Amino acid sequence: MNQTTAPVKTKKPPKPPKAGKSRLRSRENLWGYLFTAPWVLGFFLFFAYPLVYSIQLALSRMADPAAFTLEFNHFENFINAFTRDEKFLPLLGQSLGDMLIKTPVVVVFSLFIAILLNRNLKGKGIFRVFFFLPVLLGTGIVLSTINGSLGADSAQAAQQAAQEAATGGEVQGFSSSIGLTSMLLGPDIAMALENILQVVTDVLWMSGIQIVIFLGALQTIPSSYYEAAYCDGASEWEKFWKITLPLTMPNILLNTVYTMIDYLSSTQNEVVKYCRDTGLTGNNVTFGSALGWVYFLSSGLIILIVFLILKRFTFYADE
Amino acid sequence: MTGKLSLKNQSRLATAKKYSGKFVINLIIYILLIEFAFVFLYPFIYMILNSLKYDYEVIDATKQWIITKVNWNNYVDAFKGLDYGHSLVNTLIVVLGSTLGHILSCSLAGYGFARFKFRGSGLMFMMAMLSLIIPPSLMVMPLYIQFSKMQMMKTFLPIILPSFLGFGLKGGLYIFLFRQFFKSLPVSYEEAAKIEGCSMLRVFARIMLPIARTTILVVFILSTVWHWNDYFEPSTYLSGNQQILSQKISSVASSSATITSALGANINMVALASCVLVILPLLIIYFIFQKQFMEGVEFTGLAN
Repeated sequence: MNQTTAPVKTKKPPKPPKAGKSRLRSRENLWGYLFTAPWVLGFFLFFAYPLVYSIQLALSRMADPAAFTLEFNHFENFINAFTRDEKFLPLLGQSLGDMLIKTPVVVVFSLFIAILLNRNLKGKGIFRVFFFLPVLLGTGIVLSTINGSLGADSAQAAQQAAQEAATGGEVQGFSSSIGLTSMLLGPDIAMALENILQVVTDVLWMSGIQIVIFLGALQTIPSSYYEAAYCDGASEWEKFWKITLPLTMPNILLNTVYTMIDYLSSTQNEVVKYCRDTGLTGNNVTFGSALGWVYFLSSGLIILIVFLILKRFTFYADE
Repeated sequence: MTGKLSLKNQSRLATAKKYSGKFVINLIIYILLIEFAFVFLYPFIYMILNSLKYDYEVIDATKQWIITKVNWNNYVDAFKGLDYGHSLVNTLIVVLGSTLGHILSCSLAGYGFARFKFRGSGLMFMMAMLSLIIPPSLMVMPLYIQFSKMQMMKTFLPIILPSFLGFGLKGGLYIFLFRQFFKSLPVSYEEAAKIEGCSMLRVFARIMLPIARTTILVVFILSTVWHWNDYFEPSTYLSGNQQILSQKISSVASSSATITSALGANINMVALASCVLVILPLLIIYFIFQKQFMEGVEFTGLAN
């Protein structure tokens, strides 16, 4: 088709390439829209409309719950979220604080494990399978059932061990590390150690995907860099700080943001559960939406700040 | 002559030293890895061990890691409590339905974003990624109202339908994975097909999808597993005899006895047994596809 129209339009020199290009462009547009059509429909149905609706909900009061008619009431829900609700703010603070503590630990741990796995070892395939297991099974109800009893396990056991130590009773729990540490170091330190262990387990269970991302990054670093450093007599320690770390910095940024988002949008998160329960179980949809927005905006702000700070320390190899 | 020999010996000594150093380092690494692997596996070991115990063994502190007599009754109770056959069918409908939806819609959208520069494509892709960041607590209430207006409550549609349109549980991630994969392919694949006179849709179905089977496998496994374990969406939309396995665990846990062990842990053996029963099909799938899956994960854009 292009060939038949081209000779006609050669009379006006600037036009033909433009016309051909725009036709190509419009065809590309057409195919692009065709392939993304299901997504666009989903975008309006399950993303844009609900999002706008939730802003509307957050700014309104339910006038008639049966018919879902809304009445605009300015920022009353938001003011109530900060002044009336006793549970929300502590939960929010706890959740955000938890995120800020856990994220760096997750990133450092996963980088460490990735470096270990990146060495040429026999049987590293098996370890990879193990380390990826939590990604598959660590979400949802199963983990919270196990974790619920695990969490209770350490805290209560430490308490009991402390009691036993105090009463001088015979400590049966020689098989348990808690009993032993409690005897050696005293109940407070045992408790603290146990809490650290609990956090370590939590953290490791959050870092499956991050390990894979770091492994991918480490494998793209050319071995010639390390060879050159070896010839110059650099130690492993220097190689890490001078080669590995700067080159994985973009992935550290990615993993940090990923970890924070993963933590915040996890349905295991207490604040997420609380928002839903206020909204749906507690039949207060408008207030629940407002809580959801407060949570999203505050966490989004923190992620943005962390992102901007880390971005300053990141450089890309092709720059 | 003697100088030469000693030089040789010296180099031998050096290599020996080097190797023994390497050996020690490797040993340390193995110990560390085994330790971390243990932390990763501990919850599973804990779950399986305790699900097989009688209550007098749970109470006995000396038998934390030993089982003298296996108690299969926990599993019988869990099987009944979960209403396993019925719930499994529900779970399979929800999980396979939404996984199929994710593979279809996200591969189409990913291909569209990777290959065509159309007006607004950048913004649209950004929106797809944004959908990953919005916490579910924000979306669940308007969606709940929307689905009840659409008369879709008490059906599986609120979970399955969004995934056919590229949303649903982590839909944006799968779009990202497919886009990364299709971007990495050379354009010459399609150009050859175009010269043969194929339409873009046929090129996609006949050439691109078969090439993308590693990515499809990764998306299949991730989507299946995450839907299988998800408790949030099903407990919002499904009730009564539509409940899926993950929902039933909590009802099993509340209806069976919890025992406090000698170490002070609250152990509900039947609930733990039902956890094992729920994730058993997943573990089987994972270990069958484990090799292809790990290769696929490293191969797809997940690592970049």
